[in-house]
Amino acid sequence: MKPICCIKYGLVCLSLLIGLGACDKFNDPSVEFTEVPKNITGTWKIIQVTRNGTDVTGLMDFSRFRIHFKEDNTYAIDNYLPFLVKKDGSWHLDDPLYPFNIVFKEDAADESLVYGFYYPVVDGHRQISLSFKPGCANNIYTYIFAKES
Amino acid sequence: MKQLYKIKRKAGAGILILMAGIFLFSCVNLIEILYNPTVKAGEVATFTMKLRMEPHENHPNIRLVIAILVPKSWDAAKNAKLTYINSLDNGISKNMSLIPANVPPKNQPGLSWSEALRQKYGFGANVLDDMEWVAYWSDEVGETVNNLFFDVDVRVDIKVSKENIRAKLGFFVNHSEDGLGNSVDHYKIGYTDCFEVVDGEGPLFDFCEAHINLFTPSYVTKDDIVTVKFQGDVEPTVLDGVRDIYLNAKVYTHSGQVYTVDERSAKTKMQLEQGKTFSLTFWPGDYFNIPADEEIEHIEYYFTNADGTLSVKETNDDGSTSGFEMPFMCRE
Repeated sequence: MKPICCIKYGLVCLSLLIGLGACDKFNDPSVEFTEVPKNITGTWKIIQVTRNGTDVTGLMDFSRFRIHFKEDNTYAIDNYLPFLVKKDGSWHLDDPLYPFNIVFKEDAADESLVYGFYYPVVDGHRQISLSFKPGCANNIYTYIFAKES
Repeated sequence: MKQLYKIKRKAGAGILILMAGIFLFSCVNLIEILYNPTVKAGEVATFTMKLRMEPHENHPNIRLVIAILVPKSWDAAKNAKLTYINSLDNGISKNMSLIPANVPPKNQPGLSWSEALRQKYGFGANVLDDMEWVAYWSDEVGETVNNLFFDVDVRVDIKVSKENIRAKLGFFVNHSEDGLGNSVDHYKIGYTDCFEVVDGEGPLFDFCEAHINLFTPSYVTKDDIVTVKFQGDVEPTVLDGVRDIYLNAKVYTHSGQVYTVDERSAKTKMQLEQGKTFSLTFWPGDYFNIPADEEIEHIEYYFTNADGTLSVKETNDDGSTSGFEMPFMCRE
């Protein structure tokens, strides 16, 4: 019995050594991971629109709408459609590394508007997804944007 | 009480046994749904789901799951109360609670119960999409016991809104250990006939039957995106065979102004969806060029051919015709 137990313990020890070796490699100090600040500056166009969960992208011309997020943290809108802000103004993300919200402040407005910010990678490209209620509170619209330039 | 239907055969199996804190799930049968076919606006409607549970397995940590498909305006999350009585439980009524949105069905990860049911069943046979699935589970967590059969009555009390509504309501039963899996043995669904809320305020929202015209969403302002449909398959009209159909519309604002779009152009041309159904989707504020400080009170619209010689309007009780009307308002 004793030799068998030794063999068992030996196997366990070998496994631990292999595991520890793997951990050492993973923690290689020469490899550093740094979260990159989310940079949304540029011009974005609408690629999908849902109304109360139903895709209405092909039912209306959304192609001319553009929102320009500028490096000075101002934004401008071309060819306005129902959206979360109506006038041009300023913007910022609540956290550049891990943003959960985007904050808009229209020019001459007293208050800022905070909206949930989703920034998924789809087919290797970043998209922005924003949901809002420009009319009745029971109607929820989601615009998905792709970067144009 | 109206008996919706009876299932005589033993459908495979949803079984839920609720006995002294013990749930026995396996095969689930929805035998019938009892209800009065009408309710007065603002009052409480009661529905009773008669369930037969035939467990064929033992399982720990199980909850009974019930979901209802109702008009959004009823705000079921606030205004519905669900309880159940197990035939083996000495008539004791027990409570059910809303399933948190962050708890997915076991076999539908990434989706809430409401989203998963909407994806699977849509809005049932209803023709308007202003409905929602609301899911509940038993407060009590139990375990299944093999071959102990029993009946469960689930009572749904819901205070309806003040609107006049006709809709086919949905009732769904499942259990948490299945969670919308692959076998219908573990879940069942049933719908009422056309249930009606009467003596209410405003226009009738008819979810049950398709009409020649459809305006969505049901509640809007000038800053929503709206869709107007001409559903020519519903009944014969003078526009049968016409391939280019246009919308003629005017809106009345609260300040007494009237804005009309009476033209046959790319702006008013409706898209062919399928068969004889055409639609036009637009932002009213822009379509009618409404000033920022004005709000629309209601819209009147009808459908025409390219030269405006043929039109489809609403036929009134006295035989005269007029535009279809839709108020612009938000739900309270």
